Amino acid sequence: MRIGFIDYSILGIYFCFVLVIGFMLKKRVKSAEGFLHNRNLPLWITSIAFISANLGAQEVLGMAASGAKYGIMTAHFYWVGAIPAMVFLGIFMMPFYYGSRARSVPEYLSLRFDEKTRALNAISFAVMTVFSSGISLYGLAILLQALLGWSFSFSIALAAGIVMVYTFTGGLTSAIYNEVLQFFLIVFGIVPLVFVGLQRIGGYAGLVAHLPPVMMHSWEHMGSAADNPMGVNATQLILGLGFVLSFGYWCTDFLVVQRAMVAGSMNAARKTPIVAAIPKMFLPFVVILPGLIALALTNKGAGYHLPLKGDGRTDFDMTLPTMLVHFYPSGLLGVGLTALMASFMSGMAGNVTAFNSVWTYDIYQAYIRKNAPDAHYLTVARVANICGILISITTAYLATHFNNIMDLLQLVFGFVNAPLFATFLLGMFWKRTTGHGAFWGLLSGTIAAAIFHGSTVAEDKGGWIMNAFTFSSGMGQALAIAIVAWSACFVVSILISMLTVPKAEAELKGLVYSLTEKYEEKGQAWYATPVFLGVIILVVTLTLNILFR
Amino acid sequence: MQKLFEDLRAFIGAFFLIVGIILTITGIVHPEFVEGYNLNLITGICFLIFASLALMLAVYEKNKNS
Repeated sequence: MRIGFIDYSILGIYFCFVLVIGFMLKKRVKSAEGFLHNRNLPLWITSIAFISANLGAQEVLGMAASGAKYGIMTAHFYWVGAIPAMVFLGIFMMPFYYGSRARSVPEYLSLRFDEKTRALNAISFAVMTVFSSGISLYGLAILLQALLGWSFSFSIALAAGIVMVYTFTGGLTSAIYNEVLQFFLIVFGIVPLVFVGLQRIGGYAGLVAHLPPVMMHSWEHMGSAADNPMGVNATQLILGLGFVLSFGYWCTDFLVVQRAMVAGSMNAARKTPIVAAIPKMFLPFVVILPGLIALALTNKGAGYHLPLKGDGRTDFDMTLPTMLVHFYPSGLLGVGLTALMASFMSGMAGNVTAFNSVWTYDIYQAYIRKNAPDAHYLTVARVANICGILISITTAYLATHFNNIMDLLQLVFGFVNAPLFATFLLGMFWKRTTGHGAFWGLLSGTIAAAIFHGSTVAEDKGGWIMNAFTFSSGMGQALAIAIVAWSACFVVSILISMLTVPKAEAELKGLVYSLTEKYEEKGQAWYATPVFLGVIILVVTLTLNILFR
Repeated sequence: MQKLFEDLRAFIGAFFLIVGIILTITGIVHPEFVEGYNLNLITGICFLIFASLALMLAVYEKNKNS
């Protein structure tokens, strides 16, 4: 390990900068609105924050790990599982979120449906975000323990302390500013690794030569789940990942949608996910390629070997950190480690600020104390900030004692998230959908997901009710669960909506597609409209899919 | 000056300027070659170029608004 004074200095400079950002933004925070929902950020900031909110360390480490495990097929998480949904959000859904003046996704549900649907979404989202933040913290502490030899408690105290200070002082804007800084750090911190890794392996031709063909094709081996290391077929991938999970996450998860909702205008809000899709398309070359290079180097015997766990199995999650330590000299290594640290911390900050908004607006203001002075809600938001971080710390410590808690939480998150897009799709595009339909649809989808998981098995997981079917991979099972949950929610929502009384059309103006005036891009050149940009992005994404088929 | 540093571009520029200077000096004083490349020096110079662009944009924006 060659981590030296310069590396620690760069880490220290980063810590100073994030704290200064928090304090500089403090004077802008004069109200709860300024702390939680500042609608004045320019497009370039909201766009970068939009992708950064999904570029936490779990994603960065996870994508490199998946690159080494599944090959270029991992790019499906971007080219199938993200870009189309981001374009759809910008063109079709943002006008409702932004135009309705809702401050959060649950608040939109309250305007469109009713309070019980809002409460269900708000509570499940608040719980998920705060636990996700804890998982992020746990991951960071484990990484720092392994790489720097820092104790678990010191790592947690340092990271949580810094996040607490800058989110407490600068609120959502501070978290978003740090996400932008983190994005540039990730890109500049990892691109040199791709460059020297490719040099070592002999360029792209050398990479292809040292990997089995299945690792270098994203579609050719998708005919059958048994033919590829991911263990899924094309139908599962397109329906499960490309439709249900992707649209469910990118179009309804408040953590990412919030980044577009704080844009300064409707036009900027619509363009946020679309402009964000441009760098997102090319991120696989930054975060997945190091995993492929690591596997090729291991196969070639070129001085680097994929890390192993104590039991001799490959530790894919440590692929990226070990590559950084192997290739980078002291100095650049500090930048790489700072990038990882920044992504963990901004992942945590993003979750905590989203939790603050939902707790303050959708739980406290909606159900505990309405019509209080603004200063009161600002105090509540700041207390929620501290509580969110304390719960995250508790979750991180719980994870050390009950390792399965992380698997369990992620499983439950999946059950809750999968049906959400059906509710939004029906709510925005079918005016007949009722609050009762949405609420029971969501619950049915979640229950259907749990039952399906309990009735099927993959990689020794699930099957706690019976074993009706065995999947060849956990991912195949997860995608099938998503499809079942979405379908259950969709069908039950329609059935119950048909049996219950819908809202009057006058109440649905601005909330449902057929009852909303189409937003016109006044004075904007045709080539700068969200629709045109979206189409171009979809064409480029299709081209990438064809090139790496 | 304080007004300038309310712009995120100025923050990002300042951060990459400092880190760029550290990497460039390290690359010159203690050159370490990886696959034949002085990575600290090359990355440091790239950081300095990026920082200059970010700072110039921040100054331009400030002048435009004042």
